[in-house]
Amino acid sequence: MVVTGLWTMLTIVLYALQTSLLTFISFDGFSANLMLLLVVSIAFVRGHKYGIFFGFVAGILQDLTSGSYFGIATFSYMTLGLVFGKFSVNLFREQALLPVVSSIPALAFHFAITVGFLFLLDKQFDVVKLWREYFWPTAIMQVVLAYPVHKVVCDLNEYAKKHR
Amino acid sequence: MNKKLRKESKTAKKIVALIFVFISVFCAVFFAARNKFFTPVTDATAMAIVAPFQRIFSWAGSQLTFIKDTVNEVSTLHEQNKLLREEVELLRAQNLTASEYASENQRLRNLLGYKQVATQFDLVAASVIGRESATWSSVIIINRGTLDGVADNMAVVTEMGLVGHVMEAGINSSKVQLLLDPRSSVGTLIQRPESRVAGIVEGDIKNPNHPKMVNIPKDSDVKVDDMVVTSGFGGVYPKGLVVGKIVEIHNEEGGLLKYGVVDTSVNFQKLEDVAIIVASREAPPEPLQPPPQTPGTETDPYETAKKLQDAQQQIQDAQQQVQDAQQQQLQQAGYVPEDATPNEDLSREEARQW
Repeated sequence: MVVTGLWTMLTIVLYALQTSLLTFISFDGFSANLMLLLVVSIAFVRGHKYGIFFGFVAGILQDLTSGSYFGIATFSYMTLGLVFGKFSVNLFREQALLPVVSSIPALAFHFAITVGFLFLLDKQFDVVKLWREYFWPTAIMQVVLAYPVHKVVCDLNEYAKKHR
Repeated sequence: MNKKLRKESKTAKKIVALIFVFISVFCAVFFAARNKFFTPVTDATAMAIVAPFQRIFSWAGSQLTFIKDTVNEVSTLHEQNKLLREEVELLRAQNLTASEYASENQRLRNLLGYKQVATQFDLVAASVIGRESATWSSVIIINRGTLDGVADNMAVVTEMGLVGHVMEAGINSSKVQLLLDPRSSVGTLIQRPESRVAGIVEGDIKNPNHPKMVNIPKDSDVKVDDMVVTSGFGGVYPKGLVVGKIVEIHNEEGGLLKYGVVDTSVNFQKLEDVAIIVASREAPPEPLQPPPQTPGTETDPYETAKKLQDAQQQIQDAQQQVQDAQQQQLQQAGYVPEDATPNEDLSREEARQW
C-alpha cells in the first residue's frame, strides 16, 4: 500500500513539476516531459507490463489535466512503455546511461505518435519547424533530466522490492 | 500441462485486454476530438489532486524566477554601469578634445581675420610649442623656422597686437623674444593724434608682466589710457602695430624724463598661436567710398552712372541718324557724288553742332 502510494505520489509530483516548475525554464512553451522519462525508466526497470500500466496512468493524468486531445498522451505513453519495456529484457537494467541515451528516441517516438494523431485528425502544422525549432531544445532538457528521474525510479524500485 | 494451458490462457487474455485498451484509447482520441467523449468528473478529480502540488511548485518556480531575474538584473546593472563609466570617460575625453579644437578654431579664426585685415603684411601662422621658464627672460619657441621663411628679427604678432620678435630662427622652430623680456626694446609712439610722443617700450624685470615706455620728456602730452603703437623706427617692427596702453605714469629719478607703465594688449599668459610678419609693405589705399548723401535725396551712384552711359549712347545714335540723313539729302541735291565717302571729321563736327 505504501509502495503504491509512493509510486502514485512520484507520478503526481513529477507531473506537477512538469507543469509548474519546468515551465519557468521552457523553450518557447516546450519544456521537459518528465512523464515520458518516468514511463521509459519504469519500463526499463520493471518491464513492459509496468511500462504500459504507468504509461496509461501518466497519460490519463496528463490528458485529463492538460486540455489537449484526450487519449493522445495515454496512447503514446502506453506504446512507449510497451516498446521500451520489451527492450529492457535484452539490456542491463541498472545501467545509468540507458535512460539518458533512450530519452531522445523516446521523445522522437512520442513526437511521431503525436504528429501521426494530429495528421489523422486533419490538423495542419509545420512538422519541419516543429522538429527543427522545438524538438532539439526539448531533447536537451530530456537528456539533462533523464538521469535524476531514472535514479529516483531505481531507488523507489529498490525500496519496493525490500518492502514487498 | 493443465497449469501451462491455464497460464497461456491468462496471457492471451492479458494480450486481448491490452489490445482492447489500446484500441479504446485510440478511438477515444477521435471521439474526444469530435467532442463526443467527455470526462468532466475525472477531469475535476485529477486536477484537484494535482493542483496543490502544482501550486507549490509554481510558487517555488516564481521564487526561483524572481531570484534569477534579480541576479540577472544586478549583473546587468553592474555590466551596464561599467559600460556607462567607460562611455562617460570616453565622452569626457572627446569633450576635452572638442573644447580644445573649438578654442584652437577660435584663435585661428581671429588670426585669419587679422591676416585678412592686415593686407600690408605677409603672415606665417605659428603655434607656441615651448616657453623658457627663467624669470629674467621671456622667450617662447614657435613651430616655424627658416624652412617656412622665418628669419631673425622678424616681428611676431597676434590679432591683438605685438608679441615680440624672432630672436633666433632655427630650421623648423624659432625663438621669439617677447615684449616683456628686459632685453627687448621697441620704438613706439603714442597713437593719439594730438600727442604722437615717441618712446621706447622695454621689459621691466621688476614688473615682468608690464613693460615700461621710457624716454618720454617730462612735459610731453602723455596720459593714462593712451594707446601705444610701434613707431617703425629701427626697422625691426613695422609701424602701427598695437603694443598696449598706458596705465600708469611715473617720473624718472633724474627729473627730466618720465615713463609710462604699459598694459600690453596681448595676454602673454594665454599665448598659443602667433603670426610672424615675413614681409611688409605700404598699406594699400582704402577703396573710394561714395560721398555721404543728403537724407531723402539718396541715389544709387552705380545706377546713375549706368543711366548716364545709356543717355550718351542714345545721343550718339541720334547724331549718327541725323548725319546719315544729311548725307542722303546732299547726295540727292547733287552736291556730293554718290560714291564719295563722307568726311569723318566733318561729319563729327556737324554732329556736334546738332
